[in-house]
Order: sequence, then C-alpha cells, then structure tokens
Amino acid sequence: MTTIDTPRAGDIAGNPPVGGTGPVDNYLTWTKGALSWIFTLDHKRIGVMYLTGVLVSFLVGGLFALIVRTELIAPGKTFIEPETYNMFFTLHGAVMVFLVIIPSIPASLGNFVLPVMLGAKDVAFPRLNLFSFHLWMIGALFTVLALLLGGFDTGWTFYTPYSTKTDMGGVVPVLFGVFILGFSSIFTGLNFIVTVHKMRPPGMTWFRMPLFLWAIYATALIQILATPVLAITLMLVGLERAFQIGIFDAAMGGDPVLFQHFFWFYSHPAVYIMILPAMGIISDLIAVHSHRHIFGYSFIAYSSVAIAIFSFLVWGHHMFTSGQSALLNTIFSAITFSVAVPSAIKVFNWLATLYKGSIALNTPMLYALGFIFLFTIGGLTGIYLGTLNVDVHLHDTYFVVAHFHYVMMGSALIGFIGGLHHWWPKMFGRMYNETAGRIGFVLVFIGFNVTFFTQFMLGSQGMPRRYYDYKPEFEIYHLISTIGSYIMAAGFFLTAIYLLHSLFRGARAPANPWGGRSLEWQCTSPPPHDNFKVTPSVGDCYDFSVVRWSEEEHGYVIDRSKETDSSSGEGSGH
Amino acid sequence: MPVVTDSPISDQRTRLDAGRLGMLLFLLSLGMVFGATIIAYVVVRLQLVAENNWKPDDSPDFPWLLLLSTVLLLSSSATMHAAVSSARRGRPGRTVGGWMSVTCVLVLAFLVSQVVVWTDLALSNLVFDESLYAWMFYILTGLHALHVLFGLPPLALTTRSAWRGRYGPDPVSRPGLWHCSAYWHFLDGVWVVLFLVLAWGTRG
Repeated sequence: MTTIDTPRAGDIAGNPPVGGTGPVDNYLTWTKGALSWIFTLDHKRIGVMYLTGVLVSFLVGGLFALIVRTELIAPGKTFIEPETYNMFFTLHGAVMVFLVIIPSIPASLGNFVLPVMLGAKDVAFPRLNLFSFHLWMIGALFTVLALLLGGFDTGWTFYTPYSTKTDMGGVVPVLFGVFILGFSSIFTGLNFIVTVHKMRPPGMTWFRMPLFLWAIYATALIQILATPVLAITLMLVGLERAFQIGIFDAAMGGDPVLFQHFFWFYSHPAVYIMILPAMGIISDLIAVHSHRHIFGYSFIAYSSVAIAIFSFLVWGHHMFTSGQSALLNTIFSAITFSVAVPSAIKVFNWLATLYKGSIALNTPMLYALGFIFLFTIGGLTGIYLGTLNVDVHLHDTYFVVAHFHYVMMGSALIGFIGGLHHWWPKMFGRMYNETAGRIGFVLVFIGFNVTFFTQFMLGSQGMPRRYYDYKPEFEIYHLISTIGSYIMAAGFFLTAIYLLHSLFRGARAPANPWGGRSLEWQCTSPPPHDNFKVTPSVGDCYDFSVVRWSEEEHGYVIDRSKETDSSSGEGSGH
Repeated sequence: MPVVTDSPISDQRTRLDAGRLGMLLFLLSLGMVFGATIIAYVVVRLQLVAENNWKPDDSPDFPWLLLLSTVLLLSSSATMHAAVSSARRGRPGRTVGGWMSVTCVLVLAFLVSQVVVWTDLALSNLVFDESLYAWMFYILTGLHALHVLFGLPPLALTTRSAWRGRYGPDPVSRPGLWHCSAYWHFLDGVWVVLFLVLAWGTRG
C-alpha cells in the first residue's frame, strides 16, 4: 500500500491564506467584459458558464420541489390548487432532468476538467463547444417561455395522450426547448469523443486515462446515439399536437405505447447519461482522497462501457404495465438485472480502494462516501423494480419516486456536488470553509435520507406517485418526508453561502490541494489561459507514491525525483 | 496556404482526422434519427395492416416518380465523388468546380421532384388529415428533404471554393469537400433505404 506524507492535524490546504493576488496569468482575468465570456472559445469559461446556468436551474428546480413537498405536507389542499400542483411537479422534473442533471457533470465539470486532464489547450472543436452552450441557453429560454405562456402539466415524460390533449399553453415551447437542449447534448458528446480519441498527451494510453474520462467517454457515446431519438419523438409529438396526425392516438389508428417505447429508448439511456459521469467522478475522488491507487482500474473502465451498452437494451422496464407482451417483459426484466453486474463491480472496486487507504475526510470525500451509500440503496431497489412481479405492485407508486431520487439525486447530483467541491479550488483558485462544507454535507445527507427513505415506505404501502391528495394513514410519512426536504434545503443553502463566500474571502488555493496526481493538479489554480505551456507527459495518474505534502505550498507537490520510473514505459499500464 | 483556425490541435493531419471523426459521429447520430423514424413507420404500418386500416381505398399507390428522384440523387453522389477524385488528382479548379456545380443542379432537381410528388399526392386525395398512411409518407420523405435542404448552403459554399481552386491533392487542403461529400453520400444511402421501405409500405 501507499504511504504518503500527510499534513499535520488541523492543517488543511490553503491554510493559512497565502497573500498576493494569485497567478497573474489565469483564465478568469485573461480578458475582461461580458462579451469576452459570452463569445469565448475557452473551454474553462464555457464550463463556468454552464456551471452558473446549471446551479441557477438547480435553485429553481429545488424551489419547485419545495412547493410540491409543502403542498403534500397534509392531506387535502394546503396552499395551491390541484392544477397548479400538477404544473409544479412537472416543472420540477423537467428542469431537474433536462437543465440540471444531464448537463451538470459533462457540460459544466466535464468542459472544465476534460481538456486539462488531457494536458490539452481546449476541446477538439472549440467553436462547436460554444455553439452547444448557446443552444443550451436558447433551450433554457424556451423553458422559461413555456412558463410564461401558461406552463405545462404533462409530467416530465410528456406521455401521450396528456401531452397531445392538455390545453396548457407551455407544452409546445417546452417540447421545442428540450429538442434544442438535445442538440446541445449531442454536440457536447461528439466534441468529447473526438477530444479523447485525438488529443491524449504522450504517454496517456487508453488505460492510463483518469477514470473520469472513461466515464465521460461512455456518456458521450450514449449522448450521440440516444438523444437523436428523443429529438424525432418530440418533433412527432409537436406535429401530433399541431395537426392531430394520430400516430400516438389509438382512436386514429396510432399507438400511445409507441411514444413510450420511443421516449424510453432515449430516456433510459439518459439515466446513464446522468449517472455514469458521477461514477467517474467518484472513482477519482475515492482514489485521490484516500491517496491510494484505484483498485481494479480496467474493471471500472470496462464497466462504464458495459453500462453504456446495456443502457440501450433495458428501456422496456419502464413499461411493464403498459401492455407489452409477456415475452418482451421477461426479456427486459432479465436484461435489467444484468445492469447490476457492472454497477456492483464499481462499488466493490471503490470499497477495495478505500481499504487501507490513508483516507482524508475532506468535503469531496464525504460526498463520495455518501454516493456509495445512496447509490447502493438506489441500485438495490432498482432490482426490486426490475423484477416483473414486484414491479406490478410498485409501479407508479412512491417506491419508484424514492428509487429514482436515490439514483438521480442521491447519486448523480451528489456526485456532481462532490466533483464541484473537488474542482472548486481549481476552477476559482479559492478554498471554501472546510468545516462549513462538512456541516453542509451532513445536512444534505440526513435531509435526503429522511425525505426519500420515507417514500420507500409510502410506496410499498400503495401511495401512488403524482397524486395531489391522499388518505390520512399516509400523512405521517408525508410529513416526515417534507421535513426532510427542508433539512436538505438548509444544507444546500449553507453550501451556496460558503461557496459564494469563498469566491471573495476564501484562502488562496494551492495548485494541488488534495494530493491529486492527474494533470489538472499540475497547473496553477485557477489554470492559465492555455492550460499548459508545453504538452506534459504523463505516467500513471493513480500512483500517489510520488505525492507529498509541502509546508511552503500549503498543498501537495509531486516529487519529481521519484517520478521518473513511474512514467517510463509505453505499455498499456495494467 | 496557412489556414486560420481556432483548433487547439497543432498537427494538421491530426486536425483533419479529428474533423473526419467528428463528421462520422454526427452522421451516426443522424442515422439514429432516420432509423427511429423508419421504425415508427414500420410499426405503424404493421399495426394498421393487422387492423385492416392502413391504406384508404381511394388513396394512390407508390408514386413511381420517386424512381426519378432516386436516379437524380444517386447521380449527385456520383458527380460529388467525381469532384473529390478530380481534386485528389490535382485537376484545376474549374474541373472540380464543374463537377460540384453539376452536383448542385442534380440536388436541386431532386428537391423539385420531391415537391412534384407531394403536390401530386395531395391533389389525388392523399391529404394530410385523412390518414396515417398519408402522414407517414410525408413525414418520412419530408424529414429527408429537410436534411437535403440544410445541406444546400454548405454545398454552395464548397462549390464556390472549388471553382476558386482551393481543393488540391493534399487531403489537408480539402476538409470542406470531404465533409460535404460524406454528408451527401450519407443522405443518398438513407434515401435508398427510405425508397425501399416506402415501396414496401405503400403496398395495400
């Protein structure tokens, strides 16, 4: 096992604050003015703009969630009408899925980190990257427009016939908005695939890439293969709404279930667009913060690709009760089980990495450990739902709601926030308050479990999802769940405050606050405009034996004297 | 001639390969769009045929004018290829540009033939709100025509550059021509599949 010099107790990176103005040449101060941001080709600025958009959307989507939970605190009307309630749970879902989780890791963190991890100046097609961002902004504006034009209450899934029959004015704008967001996602994925193929630095073979890049790569494959199907589906729904074609209307000879097939052919893989990058982040966080070589590198890498492939073969498990044939149901159920294998491979490898590691419980690491716990619950309950006969009982109950929140929020979003804390010092050159970070995590973690574990119980007792009103026997669970959501909100509020505070008052971040080994920790924080003056050569990015704590830097440094032997050799590593 | 570029890739050959890979991925993505639409067509047809409700009695059969469209589009692919290979052999700009111009004309003729087919069908009772039989036909051909339409501006720009002699034997000198021809061959291939599917689908 690896032993490394660690800081003395109580001594954390960037503490005490280093004086001065930080690195003179950095991407934040490279040029000035709003236009230099909006039309920048710098992947780091584009990443930061995505991050801003995603976090604002997260705030909005979170407020919608609080409205929904507050309405559900007691049976009957609490403070909004049923129609308004339908609109808010729809808005919550649509905003969180399309504007927050899907772009959260690939578009914001991925854009910032991927080229730097590759030692490259930028992604392969910087202009296309900017275009993706502009498309994202336009898609987001259409979603806002949909709100102004009367909102929509179709559920985020736009199931027909609700979506073709409802008279709310926002349906067409939001369909168009999501259509455009889809293009943004496709172009980002395309850009990342080409970047990973063509721009790896000397010495970085496929099996020496940081695992985050493997995850982003597998995600990008899904983005370019599945998202086009969503585009054509939404276009057909739009046509259907405008002209009553009848393709999804049984009365006119069409088939509403065809919509579900098409929708889930995209949206099930989209679930992996959300979770895979988070798994990639966790792989890196676990290794860096336990200062230990990642266990089972190639298994983790291959399992990302395996999950990407499986993702295309399981969409039918959303439709067990939609009138699919028994044969199809059985096949989809069986393939769904097989997703558990690559997922479990990752979890076991993370645990094996932790074993005998020198674990630093920094805020990013807390989120990583929280991820493992929550993802395990989310994943295991997925097996319940993938089991045909159990699903017939649990379908469309709160059990499903709890399950996908454990995966989408407890895993994907927690992974994003862990990654955000991990790369925050790199992005902005400032350290946040570590104590506040840990308190924030504890609040979010407790609040999350109080909110959603309760919903497993609600669901298994038969409470249907999306209902406005419920029987008195469910009241106590709904009350607990709502209280949990307030605790979570307090945690996120605290997080927002200390992160914003750090931008102005935070200690200067060293180049390498956590002891990371991949390339992004080898340029200054924040990185210079060109990332690296010369393309660096790389060795094993999980070999932490050369990393040591430096008292002068208030951060970690890589011991060049020990580095030579580890970076030699052109073999495939493992 | 030095090319002004925003690309972070300094090696020209690698930059060319990156562009090509990007184009192939884009076409893969587009292929999913057409694939999904064709599957929708097939599913709807199979279900309606089973219900004996697919083709309204008075609706026209497969419009054989589409054969002409096929010939036009296939020829445009061939002339596009001729443009690329004459550039590769170092022929002067007017040869490459000439082939490209012929391609433009053939593509425009293809679009005209599509409009004629649609008008004919609309006039012969195959109107929009009548049946899925009509709608699916218009959606499938319309989606393809839309992509041909989107391809026209780049095609025109590439033709202009060809006349100006921009495209030489070195592949690095003609990424635009490569991208344009890849897109065109792709749309051509998609059309052939569409044609066969429609020929099968419009039988009673």
